Amino acid sequence: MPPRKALALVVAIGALGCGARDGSGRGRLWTLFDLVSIAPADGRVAVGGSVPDGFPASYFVRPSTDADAASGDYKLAVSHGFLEHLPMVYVTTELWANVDEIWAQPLYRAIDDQGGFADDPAVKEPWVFGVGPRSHFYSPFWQVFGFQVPLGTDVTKLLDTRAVLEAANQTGGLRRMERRITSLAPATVEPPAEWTENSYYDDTAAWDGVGDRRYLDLGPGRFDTDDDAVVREVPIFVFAKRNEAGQLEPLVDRLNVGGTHPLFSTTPSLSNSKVVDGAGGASGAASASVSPVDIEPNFGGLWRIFMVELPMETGTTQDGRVVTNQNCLDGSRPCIVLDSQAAIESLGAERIRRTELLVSCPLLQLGDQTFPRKQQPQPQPKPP
Amino acid sequence: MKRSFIAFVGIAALLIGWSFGARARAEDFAAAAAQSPEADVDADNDGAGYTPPEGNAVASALHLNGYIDVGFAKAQGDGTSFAPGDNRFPADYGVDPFATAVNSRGDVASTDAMGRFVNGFLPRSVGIAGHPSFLLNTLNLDVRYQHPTAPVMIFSRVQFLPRFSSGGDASRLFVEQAFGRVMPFEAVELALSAGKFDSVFGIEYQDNQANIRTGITPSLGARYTTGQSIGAKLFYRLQIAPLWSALSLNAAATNSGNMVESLQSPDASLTGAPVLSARLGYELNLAVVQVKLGGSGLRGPRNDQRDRGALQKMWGVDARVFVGGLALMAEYVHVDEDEGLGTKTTALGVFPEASGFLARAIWAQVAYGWSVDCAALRRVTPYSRYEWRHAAFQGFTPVTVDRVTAGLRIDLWDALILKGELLANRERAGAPNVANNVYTSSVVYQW
Repeated sequence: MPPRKALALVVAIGALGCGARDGSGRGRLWTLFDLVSIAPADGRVAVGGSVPDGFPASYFVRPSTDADAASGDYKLAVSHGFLEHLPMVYVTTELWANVDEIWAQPLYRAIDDQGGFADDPAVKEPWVFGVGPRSHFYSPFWQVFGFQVPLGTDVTKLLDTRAVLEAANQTGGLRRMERRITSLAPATVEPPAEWTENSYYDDTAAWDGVGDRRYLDLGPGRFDTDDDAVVREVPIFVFAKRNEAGQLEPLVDRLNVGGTHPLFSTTPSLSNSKVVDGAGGASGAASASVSPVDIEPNFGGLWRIFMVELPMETGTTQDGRVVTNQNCLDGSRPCIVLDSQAAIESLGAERIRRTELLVSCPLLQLGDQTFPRKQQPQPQPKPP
Repeated sequence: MKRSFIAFVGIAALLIGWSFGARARAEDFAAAAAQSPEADVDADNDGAGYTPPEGNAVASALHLNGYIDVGFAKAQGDGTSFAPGDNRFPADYGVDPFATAVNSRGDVASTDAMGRFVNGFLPRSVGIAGHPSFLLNTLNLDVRYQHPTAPVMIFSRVQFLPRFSSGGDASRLFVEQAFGRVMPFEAVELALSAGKFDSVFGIEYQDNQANIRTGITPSLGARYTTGQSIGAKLFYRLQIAPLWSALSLNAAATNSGNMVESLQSPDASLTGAPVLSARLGYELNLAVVQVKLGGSGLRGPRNDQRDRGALQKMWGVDARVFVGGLALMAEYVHVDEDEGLGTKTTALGVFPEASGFLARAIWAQVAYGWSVDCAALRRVTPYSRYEWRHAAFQGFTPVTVDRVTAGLRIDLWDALILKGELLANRERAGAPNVANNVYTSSVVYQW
């Protein structure tokens, strides 16, 4: 695919999060099950509110080939943007409208007597998810609990929380482990093909007492919770302009900008502050190399969409960053590159509008570095 | 648990011994609750909700009645059904928080989820956790005024509920009922009521009060059918004398329907549309056997959210057979709630989600009232009940639980009732196994 077409596509994909709210006021959650079910008919989500037409489901998931389209196979769509002056890559897996709090639910996984996850491909202990995707309390953000399987236990029977707790109570109880982003999905959905090092899927998930279901694992980290297990959200900024009716309309040809902390707060930007090169960047270049070994970001999972009303005259750099004055690009006039939260906040609170939309957009790459999964089994081929 | 049982037996033995020694004999306790819970009350209470006996209106227009329910209870574990290690949210969606009931109001030993988020599927609590404790379950005051020259009756029931919670004092003054009733025709058994009154759904609401209920605790399905609400009600009964039978209709339009107030508050309509409910009953009254059958239905907006299109729907059937001192009762209820709009608002607070909900519950009880005419002892009633409940919140693993309840009731004079009861709770599917059996007892003084 030519670079420009690819850019246009990812811009469109990135725009899916832009400024929509469900006009009914009812709390809504769209999972991959919903998106796959409505995508073939060009269905849309989050219809109503400030974006009356909503967003096509194809912004979230799409077939890679015509053959995939014919067979109903989908892959997560990849989006691009910027975060702290660095290019970022992410996928979007779930969308909430009019939901204020998202909880990290328990995910139970078998561990060995050393506390490590089972690494024997022949042993297919299910990943037992505490909540299924049809609940409004479902989220792809999980607190993993490890447990040892008692000798002689048929692991195919470990299909719900009750069974796990009974097993765990025989072997010393549960052990709190890492947090992880994992989406529950229909068996026709896969991670993006070009990002298999960052993502993984398998059909050994169990929830609601039923096994052999699919999960798309996007690895540990990238979110944090408060004491009540509520996932902390960070802003993602979508550029917009007012239409003739005076309503904010997202600009689908602008790349989104991710934030790293609550709006106008003084919370440190990144979990590992040494990768931050300062606020309100005057340069659009990626300035710091973020090592996935060093950094464990607690952002990059759950985002609140904010609409950013751009000034009258704006431009874009060659790599897609928005600048406040097109004439500044030749260096003759100062301008602000809107590729970080601090730069956007410098526009003033009156230009930044909170929406009712939350999105799960796990970061796949920030700068030159990707976020590989840890303690993961090898990717499995798609079953026939 | 063992010590609690010993304490109860001791108290019961003391009171029984004292009663045998007494010389005074009150009039025969006309209504043995085990034989017929309704026998304590009016004939028109077959579905019309409990109201006190009419008595002699000419002699006295104003009646004061009431009771005091003193309990002693002990629940296993921490007094809840929340399992250690179950880290799902909300905590109250994956278990049955109503299982550890300790009194006739359905209050449980504890609802403390140990800091885990809950979403409003909770009963009231007496806050004793897993500790044995004396309780003043209810101080109940009934005031009834029967107009001497008009077919108008006014009734109020106010309850004092001393409670303690982890946050300190949680006592309440609760207006359980307050209504006026008109019976416009002398020759027709038709009653029109307005105010706050009992449910019309099923039969268990008639046992709400501690002095009426054969045992102590309500069934696992009582949360759906035994709540009071505010609105208007019609009761009509047609006697078919040649067949020793009667047909009755009990219908109501209320703010909230029949769920208990911890699930849906009756005090205001959140949607502006009424909840309609009704029961159609048939009774056969023969010399040796009495049979009562009924079917109930309910439909209207759920009153814990503000979308009038989000409905609660229920239907149920009930049956009772009385032969001699033997009383057999059973009830089935089916509950279907649409997903609501926005937050959930109940008498316990505001919660994030009004989730869609499905439930089925059944209970069956057998009791034998053994009449004893020995000093103060009037009646001894052993009883047992089996209960089963299957329920699921939208998207959550369905929970199936059951319970065996067994107990003994002793009536002394007309004024004192002693009860002891054991609740054996079992999690059959969905919910983790947890130690949550309950031993509870109750001493009821009534006047």
